[in-house]
Amino acid sequence: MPAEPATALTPEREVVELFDEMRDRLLRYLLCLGLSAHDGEEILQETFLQLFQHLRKGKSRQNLRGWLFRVARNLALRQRTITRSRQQSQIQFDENLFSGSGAGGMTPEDELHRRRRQSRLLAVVRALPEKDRSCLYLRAEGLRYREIAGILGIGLGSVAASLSRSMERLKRADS
Amino acid sequence: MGHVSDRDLVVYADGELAPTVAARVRAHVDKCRLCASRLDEVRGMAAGFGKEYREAVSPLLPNPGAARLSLQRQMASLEEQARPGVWPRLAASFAPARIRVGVVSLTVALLVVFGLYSISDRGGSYSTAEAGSEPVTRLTPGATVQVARAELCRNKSHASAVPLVLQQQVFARYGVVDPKPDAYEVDYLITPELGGATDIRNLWPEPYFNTAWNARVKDQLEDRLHQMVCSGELDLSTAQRDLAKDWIRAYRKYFRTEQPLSQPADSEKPDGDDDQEGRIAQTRAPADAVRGEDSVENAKRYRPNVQRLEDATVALPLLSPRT
Repeated sequence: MPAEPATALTPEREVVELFDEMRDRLLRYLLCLGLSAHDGEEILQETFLQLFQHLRKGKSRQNLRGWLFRVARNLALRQRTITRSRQQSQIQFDENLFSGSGAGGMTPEDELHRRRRQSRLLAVVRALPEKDRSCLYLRAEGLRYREIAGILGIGLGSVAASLSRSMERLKRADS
Repeated sequence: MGHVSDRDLVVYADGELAPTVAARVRAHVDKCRLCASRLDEVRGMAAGFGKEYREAVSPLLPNPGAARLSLQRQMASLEEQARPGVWPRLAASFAPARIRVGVVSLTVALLVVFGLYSISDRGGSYSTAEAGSEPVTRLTPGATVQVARAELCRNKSHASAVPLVLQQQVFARYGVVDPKPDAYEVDYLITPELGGATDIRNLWPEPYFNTAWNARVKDQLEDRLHQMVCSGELDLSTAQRDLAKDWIRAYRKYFRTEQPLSQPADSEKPDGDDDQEGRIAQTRAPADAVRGEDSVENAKRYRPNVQRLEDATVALPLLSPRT
């Protein structure tokens, strides 16, 4: 097989590289939206296949990472009908989110304190509207305000307002 | 100026404010203790939440290996559908509307073509092999995806159904018109469990029952090779090459037998199962797809295989990977 020049990545190769780089971040986000890991993986397959077609057609390569989040989110929201099972998996997920084990060597009082704090934060996050939640989670995935605005299709100011609102609520719950 | 607005503060924290505005914010934050602490809070809160969130969610994520493989396979399949056949004239006859795609897939690496292979080349002593047991090398040279051995061994079942569209293309390429549902399995020459691609160059219509060397027998070989590759007895590329070159010869080599080992439909299996036999017995029963008068025919065809069982039980312990 002839060696391929590093500059000319095939769409397949590029998709696989982006998959390796982005898959965990995207899947975490989908889980936060309330999808099961299984549904999340299916949506990611579809998302990356769309990316493959997108690249093959020679469409815009600007901010492909943001593009991936946007497509995954749209597919997830389309699929996500409010059903019992979804709410079930959401609750299960939420509980997982904040019940990770604390640092070793905690006293029982510390542990209790940590759990109380977590359940307070959890209640806050649960009560947030979907867009605010998305802002928070996308921010937690390390995305910039401008990228978040692009993914959610809202203005930069709205993202900033949403995040400062959420942070204010979290802070109040944490005090 | 007054205190910095929340909006400006978070955007500033991101380094996304316009330079002139950013300079003003910086100047203010330097002097104003309140805004300086708000800025710290904005930065700290996002970072703290992010870390906690990632640590909590990450353990819930399944291993990405299987998903990556499936993605690669689907891309290869899409690529194949858009590409004119390696033999354009043939391809044009069943895919007139295909669009030419100039870039040949690089993740789907065509194996070296091992020279023309025809069944008669194998000589008279192997006359049990009938037409159709092995693919036409020109049409099905074999194709693989790039995948690490560890990955193939970590995620056992990768065999996915060949898309119907692709199956029809394979039949067309082999000139099989209106195939009976149970007559053929459109089979991978190199199984996906050993890195084979879902690619028309790696697929052919393999008869289930009209030959001793049928799809069920090949399944045994694939299981065996997978086991050997994963236990380190055999390297992946050798397994792929042997499968692509001549799987019947490979079967004889790895099972040390001239004839296919007994099929599970034959109940005359002797006692004393070891792991090896147990595994073979678990391969799909050929009887499950046999109906009506055909079954008599098939029973006759399978009869000779039983005779080989004694040989097999002698040979198998030598091959046992329990080391």
